[in-house]
Amino acid sequence: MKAISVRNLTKDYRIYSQRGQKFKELITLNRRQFHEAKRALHDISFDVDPGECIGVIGDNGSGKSTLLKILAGTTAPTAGDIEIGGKVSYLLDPATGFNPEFSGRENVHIKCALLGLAPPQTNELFDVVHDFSGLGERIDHPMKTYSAGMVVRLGFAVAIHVPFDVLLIDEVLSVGDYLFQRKCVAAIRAFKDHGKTIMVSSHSLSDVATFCDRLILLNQGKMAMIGGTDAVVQAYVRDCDRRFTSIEEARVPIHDQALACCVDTLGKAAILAVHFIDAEGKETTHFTSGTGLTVRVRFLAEEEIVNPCIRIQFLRNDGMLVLGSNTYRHGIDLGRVKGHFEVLCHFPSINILEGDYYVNVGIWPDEYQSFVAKTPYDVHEYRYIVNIESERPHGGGLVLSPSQWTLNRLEDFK
Amino acid sequence: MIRRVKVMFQEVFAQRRLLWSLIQLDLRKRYGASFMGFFWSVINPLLQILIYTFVFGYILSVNVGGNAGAKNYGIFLFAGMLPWIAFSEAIQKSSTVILENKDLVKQVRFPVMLLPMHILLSSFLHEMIALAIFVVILFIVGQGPPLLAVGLVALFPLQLIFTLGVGLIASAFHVMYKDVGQLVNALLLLWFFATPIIFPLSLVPHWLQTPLLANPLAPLISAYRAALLGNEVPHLWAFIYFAGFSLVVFLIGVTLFHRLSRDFADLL
Repeated sequence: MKAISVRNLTKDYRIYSQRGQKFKELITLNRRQFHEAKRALHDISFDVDPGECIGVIGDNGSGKSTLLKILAGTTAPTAGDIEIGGKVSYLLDPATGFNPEFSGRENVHIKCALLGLAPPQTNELFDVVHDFSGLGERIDHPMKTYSAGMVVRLGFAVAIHVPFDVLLIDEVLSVGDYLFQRKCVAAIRAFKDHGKTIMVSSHSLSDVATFCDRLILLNQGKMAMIGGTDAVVQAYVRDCDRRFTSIEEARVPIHDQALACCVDTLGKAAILAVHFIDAEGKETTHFTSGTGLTVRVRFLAEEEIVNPCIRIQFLRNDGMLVLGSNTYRHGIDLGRVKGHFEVLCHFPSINILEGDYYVNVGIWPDEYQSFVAKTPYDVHEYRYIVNIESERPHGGGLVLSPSQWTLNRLEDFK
Repeated sequence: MIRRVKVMFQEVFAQRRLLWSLIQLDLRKRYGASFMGFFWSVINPLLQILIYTFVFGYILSVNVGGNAGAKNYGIFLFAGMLPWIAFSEAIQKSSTVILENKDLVKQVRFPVMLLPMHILLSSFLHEMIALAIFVVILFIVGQGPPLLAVGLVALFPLQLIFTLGVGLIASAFHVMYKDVGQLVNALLLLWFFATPIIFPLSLVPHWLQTPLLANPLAPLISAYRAALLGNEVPHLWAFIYFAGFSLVVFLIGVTLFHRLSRDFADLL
């Protein structure tokens, strides 16, 4: 018997963007549809064993709350099956069911009634709930005088003391104060030991990492990953890093846009093609940090030019120059060139970390002009993008620099 | 359809404690929210009755039969207002009850039908209080109700299912279309004057009497007056008509609400 079993769960929300669309559907008796369907969850399947604590992570709008709402039964799935073994308690929005005019004590009774408890059961629970909430004598004050954190504490105290087999918590843990958070984590651990099943959604990766056995990663309503907490957190963090450093097609950093489109060129020479070649000699734009990368620039000098400077630059997605190299710095004299040529710039180990990078390529009359005069023979700016991937041991940040760790015991350190 | 009604009643019965809590909550909001909550909840309808009595009973001297006069008119009006206020209040409040409790509908799993239902029962309880006050008044003016008043109890279930039916239709549509809120108010105003509450049917021109009798509330109001004031008991057919109408409206209401309530959480 599984505690939670979800099969091919799909949820569509109907979006009525114009007034009258709903009315049109009414008068055509739903024979014609005027709404747009927004798919919030797409073909989700998973099982949770009793006694397991499972977390749901993902970006805003990835479907975490929708998933929990469907499991709690407050909204119906569009397709798919859900089975829950046992009684469910849930805390989706801590303030729900509380009435600001009434005291905390009265609100506990109201909320317990909403969660299906009889008054004698509520009376039995009340002292424990009161104690857990840490509200003290404030419990008899009207709820409107409570702080947001106090409301959450009371809501949470009720939700976890109502008898349950499966507890669903949506994004509320980090609202209470530190003492309360510790209480919650302790309570959740105790529930796990008693074979209760808990499902939490959270943005706080450290929260879920503290007490979840497994995680579900949702990405735009699809199940991107399910697995051990460490593996999923790593995958998610890496995915966020990647997106943070990625470059979308044709998106040039704003402050360089003017520069990129207005470059005067001298003519005479033209860049024909730029290719990126990996360590195996294959043309690609995907590389791994620390492996070989060769930039091949093919150009045509229509007139004879003398010792041009060929420059290659790698820029981060925000336009910051990360790495640059040119023929002058390396003391290479190309001599007099006229006709078709190719130059190869080989990086035996490309030591920059995960991200998308722009590559600028230019042919300049000399190095000095490439800095100041801005009049190259030809230049391709923000035209090429290479994607670099890193592995965890490569480290974080921008630069790959192999590091070694040593631990020494300091016996007589004063 | 019959099965759906059965399922609905089972659901509501299973949650009867929650229903009762909701009713208590509503009564407390009504009577306990302000300093003189109970006073206000009685004084407003009473004031309305006094004003109508002054205007129609005294200034216009509407003849309601028996010994004409303000006293008679007041009692005549009160008897008609009792079911009307309960009905109109229940409809008005049920039309907005889902929207007002939208957090509950979205975040808590319970039969949403309980929301309009608790409004209905709370309004009905309120009517019972008013009815008790009215009976006391009747004794004070020396016109104690006839024994037939007990028969009113038989009418309550019909009144309840009729009100519930209309209330469910209004509340379900209000979630879908916000305009329904305004529409309900307009229709209730129209309905008030299309029902023989402030005037006796006998004063209505003959050609208008039949259409007014088609109004399902007309037999209800007449029955109240017959039971409380000893007026002429309506024809059996009027009762059958009201019963049939109530049943149909009730079934439509339950079916419609059941259908639409599945989407409430998504539409709110």
